This record gives sequence, C-alpha cells and structure tokens, in this order.
Amino acid sequence: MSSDRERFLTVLILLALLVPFLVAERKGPTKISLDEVLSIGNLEDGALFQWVGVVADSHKSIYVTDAMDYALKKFDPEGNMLKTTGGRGQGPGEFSAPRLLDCSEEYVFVSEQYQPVIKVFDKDLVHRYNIPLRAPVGDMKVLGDDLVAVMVLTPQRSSTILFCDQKGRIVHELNYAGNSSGILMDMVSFDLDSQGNLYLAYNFADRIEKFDKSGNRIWSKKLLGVKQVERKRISSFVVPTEIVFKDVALDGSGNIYVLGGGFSKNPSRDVYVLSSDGEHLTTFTLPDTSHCIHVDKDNFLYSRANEGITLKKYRMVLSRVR
Amino acid sequence: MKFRFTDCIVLLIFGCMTFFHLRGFNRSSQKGFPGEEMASVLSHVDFEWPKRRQHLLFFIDFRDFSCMTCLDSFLDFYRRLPPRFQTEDSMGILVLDPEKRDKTSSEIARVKLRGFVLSNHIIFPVQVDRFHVFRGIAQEGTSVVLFDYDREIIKRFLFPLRQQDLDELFRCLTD
Repeated sequence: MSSDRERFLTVLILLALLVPFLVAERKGPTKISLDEVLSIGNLEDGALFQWVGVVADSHKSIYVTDAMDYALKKFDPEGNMLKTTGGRGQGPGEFSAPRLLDCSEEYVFVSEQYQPVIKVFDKDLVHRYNIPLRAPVGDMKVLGDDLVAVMVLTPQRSSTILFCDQKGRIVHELNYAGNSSGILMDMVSFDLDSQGNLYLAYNFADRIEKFDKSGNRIWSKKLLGVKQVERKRISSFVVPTEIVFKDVALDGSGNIYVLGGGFSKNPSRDVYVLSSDGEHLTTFTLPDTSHCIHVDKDNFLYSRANEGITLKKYRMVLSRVR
Repeated sequence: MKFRFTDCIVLLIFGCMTFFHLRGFNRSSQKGFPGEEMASVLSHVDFEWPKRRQHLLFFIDFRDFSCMTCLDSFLDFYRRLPPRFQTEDSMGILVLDPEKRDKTSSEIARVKLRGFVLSNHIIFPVQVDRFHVFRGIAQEGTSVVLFDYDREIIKRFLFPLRQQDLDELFRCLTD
C-alpha cells in the first residue's frame, strides 16, 4: 500500500516537472531567422547610392527611391535594373528629395521629403500626375489606384491619418491621439490591413497601437520600458532627440513587424514581431542597420545594408524554440 | 689628421661639381629646355598668378549626405558660380564621419560621393579625406574657403550661406 502511494507520488512529481516543458514545446516562442535571397547594389556597381524607400509589386518587380541621385528606380525580380527616372528639380517627374514609396496595381506613388505632394508614376516610371497635399508626408500607405492614406507633418493634423483621393481631397480621416502632446511626439509610422485596421508605431514614444477602421483603439502596447524620450530646445521648438520605433510593416498573416530605433538593444537592427492581437511573439536582429523595413505579399523582408548602397531581400524562416 | 684633410678635399670637389652642375642646369633652362615650365613653377611658388587670383576650397561634411536638402545651399551656390570656379579653380574635400574609420566606411563614402557628383554634374575634383586630416575644419558642417590673393583674404563660409555671405563671395569671384 505504502509502495503504491510512493509510486503514485513519484509519477505525480514527475508529471509536475514535465508539464512546463510540454507546454513550452507546444506554446514555445517563435524564432525568426533570415535567409538572404537577393542583394541589389554594391560598392562597385553604382546601382544604388542611398536608397530610401522600397516596395515590391504583385509581379515581384522592386521599386526604390534613391535620395543621392534623386531617382526612382525599377528592378526585375532578379535585381537587374530595368529603368531609372527623376533627377534633381521641380519639374514633372523630378525630385528635390524623394522618400517614401508604395504602389497600387497600376501606379507607383513617391513622396517628397519637404514638399506637400505625392508624385504618381505608372509602372514604366512615366510621371502621370501629382497628388497635392496640405503638408509634407510623414508616412503613407496606398490603398488603391485612387486612394492613399497619409500622416502629414503639420501641427494642426499631427495625430491624424488622412485618406485622400488622387486630387488630394480628404475623403476620410482618423484621429488616433486626441490633442497633440508636443511637436513630433505624435509622429507615427503606420500600416493598414485588408480589413482597414490601422497599426501605429510611434516614432518618439514607446507605444504600438491598433485601431479599427472606425477609429476605436483595440490595443496599446509598450515594448521597451521607455518612460519619456529626452527633448531638446532648438530655436523656439522643443523636439525629441531619439527615435523609439522607426518603421512598421504587416505580413500576409497579419503579423506586425516593428523596427526599433535608438532604445533597442541593437539600434536600428532589432525587429519586434507582434501578433495582430498585440502579443509580442519574438524579436530578431537584422544583419545591418536599416532606416526602414518592407514586407511584401509573399512575406519577404527588405532592409538596408552598407548605409543605403545595398538593398537586401530576405526570406523569413519561422521556427519554434524548443 | 691626414684622413680629415682628404675628407675636406673630397667635400670641396663635390661642392664644386654641384655648383657647376646647378649653373649648367640654369643655363640650359634659359636656353628654353625646360625654361617655360620652370618659370611657371617659380611663379606659382611666388603666388604670381597672372589671371586667376581667387580659388575655392569646399569641405563637404559626409554627415550632410544623410540629409540631401542640407546640401541644397551648396548646390545652389555651385550652380551660380562663374564657369572657371565650377571647374579648375575649385576643389572639394569630402570629410568623413570621425566615428567611422574602417575601410568599408571609406568605400561607402566614395560610392556616395560618386552618386552625388554624377547626379549634380559637379566638375571640379573632390577627394575623400580618408585619413581624417580635415575633420576639425568640418566639425560645424559643410563649408567653403575663399582664397583671394588680390584682396589678401582667406575666409571660410559655412553652409547654408546667408545673403551677406553670397554677396561677399560673388564680389570676389570674377570670371
């Protein structure tokens, strides 16, 4: 009898010890490793000098803006340059500082860093028209041939995403932060999923948020334990000095990728991966520092190397940590 | 004592040979052998430049490459320069980030410089300051140094240039 009881207790203890391991295996954290599949631009070929924006379309062509030679460049899926357009100037199709980039089925949209305009090109890089805006673009997301969502850099609209048509008319707007909490403090990088949900990564605050298309906050998340970003007075303005999150992108499964800035363990290299529910799934580190990340429809990740001379494309390999 | 005397004789002979050699060289120069080149070299040494008495030396801060509009003032100034200052009477030095001293950073700077020069049609030569000789000069950012031998001025102007800087520079820079 005593022996049975001892055996029972032993099994019970063993089970108690094993349960955490069994659960951990089933619900173990995700690990993402990067497998480089393409590299565009190197120290010899002069294909890229300082790329800024990147997007891949449904045909796997890759479009890149290059700030150094004021250009919009198109590459085929193997990384061969097909065409380049632009040049420094104010004329149609010219740039003063080309920056962000996105595309629809038919067009490629390019923002200017200091001008309130989005320049629209067809897929052969022929300039078609401009979308006039009220202020320069902080971030943008193209939702169709005739609809673009923008965060504009103006104190009056600093915490609002504007949805504009091709004439720049505002067809919808979404306020995400109420009253402004200071110059640049509400600046965000954002992305939208197919249901119209909005994902925000604050550039100067430790905050990642999800809103539904009606503007209701679904969740808000802190990742780094940053209380407040130090601010500095420049002339009559008080501005933040360090970027918390640099960019955000969504993959085809609805996972959120957030590129960390100066507060990350590996500044400008750590990418935080969250589920659409806001659960922090994992963090992985880019091989080189980057100012942005892009995830295409096939879940390939694009980031920077060699300070903008090289564009890297990676396959993201998911695995469970045992 | 004998050794010292011989030594002196050798030195004397060597001195005489050198003297005659130099005289011979000068004579051949005067006959036009490398005479014109020599005159040109001497005038450069004496700063006796007959026509071009102003020069510009640009110090381009590599950090400004991360913010292309930071170089707008430089580019606008470059385009307004009289032609000779866009070509042979100017020179540029790309001053690198002091925190990046490895070879790859220097190569990256060289590639970016190539893109910058090509896209902006800059004709005068620009060198990369690989050994960080001019870091101190570029601490405050991109600048231009004016050498005006007529007015005995050597003066540095920081970009972006103010209107009074432009006025002063263009008063000195003549075609």
